[in-house]
Amino acid sequence: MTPRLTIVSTWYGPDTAGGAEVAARRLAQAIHALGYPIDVWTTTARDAFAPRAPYYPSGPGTDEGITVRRFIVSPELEESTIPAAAAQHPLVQRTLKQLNPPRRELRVLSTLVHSDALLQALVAEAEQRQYIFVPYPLPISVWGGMMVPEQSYLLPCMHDEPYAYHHLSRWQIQHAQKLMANSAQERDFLITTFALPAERVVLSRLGIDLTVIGNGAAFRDTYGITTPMLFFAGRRDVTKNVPLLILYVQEYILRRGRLVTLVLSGRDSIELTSYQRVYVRDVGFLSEQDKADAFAAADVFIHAGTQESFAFVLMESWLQGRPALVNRDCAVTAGAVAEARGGLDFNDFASFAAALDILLEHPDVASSFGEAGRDYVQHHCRWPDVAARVVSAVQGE
Amino acid sequence: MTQPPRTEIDVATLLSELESRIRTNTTQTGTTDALTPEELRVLHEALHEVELTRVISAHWLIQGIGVVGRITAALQKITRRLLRWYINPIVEQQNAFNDAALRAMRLMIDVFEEQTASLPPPPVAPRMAPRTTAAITPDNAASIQATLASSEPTFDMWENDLRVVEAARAHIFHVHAHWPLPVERPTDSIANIVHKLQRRLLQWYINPVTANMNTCNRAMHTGLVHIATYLVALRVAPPLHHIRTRHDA
Repeated sequence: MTPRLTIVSTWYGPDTAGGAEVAARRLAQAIHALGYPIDVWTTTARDAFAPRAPYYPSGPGTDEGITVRRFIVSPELEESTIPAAAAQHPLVQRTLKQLNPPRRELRVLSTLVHSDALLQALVAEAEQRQYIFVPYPLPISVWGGMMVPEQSYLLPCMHDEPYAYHHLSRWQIQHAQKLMANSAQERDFLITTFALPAERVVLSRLGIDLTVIGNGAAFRDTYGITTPMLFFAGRRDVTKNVPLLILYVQEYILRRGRLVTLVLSGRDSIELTSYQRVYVRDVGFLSEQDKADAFAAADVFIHAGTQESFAFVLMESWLQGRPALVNRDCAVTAGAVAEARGGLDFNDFASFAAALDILLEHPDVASSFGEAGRDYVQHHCRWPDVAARVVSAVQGE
Repeated sequence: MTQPPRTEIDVATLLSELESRIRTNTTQTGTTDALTPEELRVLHEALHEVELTRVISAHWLIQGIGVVGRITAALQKITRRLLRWYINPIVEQQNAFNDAALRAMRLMIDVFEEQTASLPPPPVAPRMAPRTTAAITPDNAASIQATLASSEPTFDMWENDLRVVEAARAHIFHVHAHWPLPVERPTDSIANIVHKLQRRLLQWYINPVTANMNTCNRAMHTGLVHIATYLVALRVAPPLHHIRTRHDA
């Protein structure tokens, strides 16, 4: 009997935010749509932006026709300790003895959400299942992968960041049966950083909903935007370089003497001073349609972050035919822009300002970039293709 | 040990002067204020908080109720007197630093106000590129971008540098008296038992001092963040409001 595919993600659900978590849900839906049996195991917590208190009911349920089993979140651990279910497992004990990971790695993991019940279930049903852990640096993926290595597949959503160099991450990456990379740049990073054989890392990519059509005029009307519009969607903090983006846009306005509006969308709150509110518009968390409208309304979509393994928002922006401006220091987004010929990149204020000058003053060039981006997305981001690559990687079909 | 000389300054007057300067400057910035009244209120409150918490004390009230309590209190007073040579200079150094930090805040505002007054007005006409005669296409856009970027004046990012104080909060603005005791050699475990006992016996003395320091540090940090916001606002708010007004018109 073919083992049942099971996506294991700490957070999962219709109200759950986060790039990896959204990827997990859409991947599950795509695999289900292809007709393959798939389950999802997750916790009752909502996402990384909410407390660990239950948000979804525990136990089995369904989401878009997929069986989702939710496990209760265990109480917070004492500093640098590991979940009881993992601590008692002989493979974990042996591996920790060999690895002797630095205390700081255990400290970080001990602060994050885990579920002993879920970890126990992984072992109990290992014979009947193949687990796809999403993403790599969370306790359920780390300890779960160590408890059932022969059934472990990983959608790591990894980029060049400190976690990637942890002893525990290295072990996890090197012992997963196969890894699914979201982009060619992530695949290269995994192969070179962890000395993996190329055949163990599959370029599965990720998809987006290609049917969404944005209405830019509606968005501009709703928010009363009458200036050139720059749009960012995602976590509005330093990890996405949002403070730097705000600073650059402010300096651009001051130097050019011309107002542009930076529209920021995201679930987390952002504090703006009165003078920043002159040119920054916080529109909060947008529905999928509203977000598509915002992409369509934007003159330029900007992504200043450097730590990405895919960047859904970049692809969604291209789907609406808008040009992108991304950080040159992000291999994934800059690589995608170069491959798609869908915009420009920057690595300092001068290149940022020059890119805006070109994209705002030359709509024909901007539109050409946007069209090229749309072609790229329509070719590379089809969910049925992604799901087929993942199933093939895991079940060898 | 020779104790460092304590600089006597009238902090209340200094703060009141500072607030009045901020208020005056804000109303003199032209057509618009640098900050809103609400933001100014928050800044004033932050500065008051610095004043309220800036003096660290190592002499908290010791009281004992009942015979045992009175004996404990007497022992604590004796301990405090015996350790005064050790703890008080530390506290005095912290107080000297706090005074100096407050002076630095005043200086920062002085310097920025002076510099802002000499800034040129924002450009009246848009100074929009391209500053190139070449026809731009998707194929040559990146190279033209590089050409344009090479003629862009340097951005010194001073505003970003000011924000360092905000980002540093977790790392440098918190004092701990109960850090983890490392075990690197077998004998460390025994030593740590002694250290933990010492720490427990002295926590009535040390913990209020660190709590006092942390309250002050939080206030100092908040004050610095709001002052940084104000200093940036002095430079950028008037031209930004001007550009907005021009656009709306």
